Amino acid sequence: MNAVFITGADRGLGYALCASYLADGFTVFAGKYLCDYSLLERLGERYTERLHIVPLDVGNPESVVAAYAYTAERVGGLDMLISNAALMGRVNCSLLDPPMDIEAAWRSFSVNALGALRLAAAFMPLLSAGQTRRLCFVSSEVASVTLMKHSRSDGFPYPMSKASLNMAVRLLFCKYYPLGYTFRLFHPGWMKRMLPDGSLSEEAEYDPTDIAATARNYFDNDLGDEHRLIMLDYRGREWPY
Amino acid sequence: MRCAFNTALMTSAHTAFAEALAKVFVREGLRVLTPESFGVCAPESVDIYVDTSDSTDGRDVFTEGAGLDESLTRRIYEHNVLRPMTLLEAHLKALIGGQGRRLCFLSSRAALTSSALADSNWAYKLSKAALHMFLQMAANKLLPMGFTFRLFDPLCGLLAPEAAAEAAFSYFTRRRGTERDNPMRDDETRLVLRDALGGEHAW
Repeated sequence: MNAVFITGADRGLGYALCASYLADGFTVFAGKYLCDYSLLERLGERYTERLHIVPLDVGNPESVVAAYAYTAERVGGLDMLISNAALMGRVNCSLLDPPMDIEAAWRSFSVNALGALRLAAAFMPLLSAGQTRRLCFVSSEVASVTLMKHSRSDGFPYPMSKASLNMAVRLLFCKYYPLGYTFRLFHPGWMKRMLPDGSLSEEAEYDPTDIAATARNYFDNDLGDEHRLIMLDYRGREWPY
Repeated sequence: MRCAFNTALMTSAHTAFAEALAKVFVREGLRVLTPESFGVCAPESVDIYVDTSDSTDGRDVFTEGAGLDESLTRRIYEHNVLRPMTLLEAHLKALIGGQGRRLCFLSSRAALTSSALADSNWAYKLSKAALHMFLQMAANKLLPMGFTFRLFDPLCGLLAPEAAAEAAFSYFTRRRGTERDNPMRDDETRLVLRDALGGEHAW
């Protein structure tokens, strides 16, 4: 039986990926962070045997270790790790509108970049025992230094953290691709926010369920050039670093 | 030809490279300020700003299971990212009041995502990726205000600090790309990383 671990599964793309993999017969370990969302619990009523809800804050090293122990007690190997959890939101961190919330840069880094690295480091033994050995990371167009043409009014931390995430994935790729692991780096586009009742906000362009289908096409299938780490977006376009 | 900058602010002159660069600035007639030299009385105008933050640590390694050392990673990120952000914010007013509006930072070609290798210095490389994005976004704000940027790899360990300082001075103090003042040949709107041997590297 195939098993996948997905972080940031409370809502949005993470939740939609959980629902999609469960519908296709996977065993899913879903990282849960938000207390005010119960979409996963409702999904669990349909998949009592195959959905495991795992408390997880990737910004906390101890939480990552606990999530690994929980998972290792229940499955012998993981086929895929999907790092989707991210810290977003507006912060006051603009050079021309001081004072900058400098600590916000660390918080974003600790969750969005270091969190993904903590997760990969901890879960390697389970991935090693799996059949697919694939690590997937949800990144963003704002990780691209080359194409960063604007300075967001809500500040620097999120793009900085995603640039660091791409570097982290690059380093993991260099270390683990020669050992048989494959990697995916994905920019999902501007998705509608999933509310606690499962409905979608009006703002933004894309339904997370549609993006999840696109992501799975990228995550699940082997590529002809696995030796090359690239970032693809929801339309299959390649982005530079 | 005397360079166009009169006052340089260096965030530190404690490394061999920074000390050598300060000497070149003085030799070329610039007044060099450091936080130690002006204490709590920050200068009112600065022409060229050099942030020398560039911290590595031999213990900065990734291990399976444990990942990175959390406290070491925090220290490296503080030194290479949070400190440069804080200092630039603190001195931006003086830079706006100066004549040169040139901002210079240190990085490494080993810390470019397109070509980084997993040999060592993972936290350093993650921190520099964040710094690169910060500088790109800062450039988007500050270029229209007349600021220009330099991101420089002194090639520590490969070049002597004195040689790297001469290369840095040359790169930091001249205009990039201008050919006989032809604006069509100007190249100041791109943020690029160049090393002390003149090499330019893709992100």
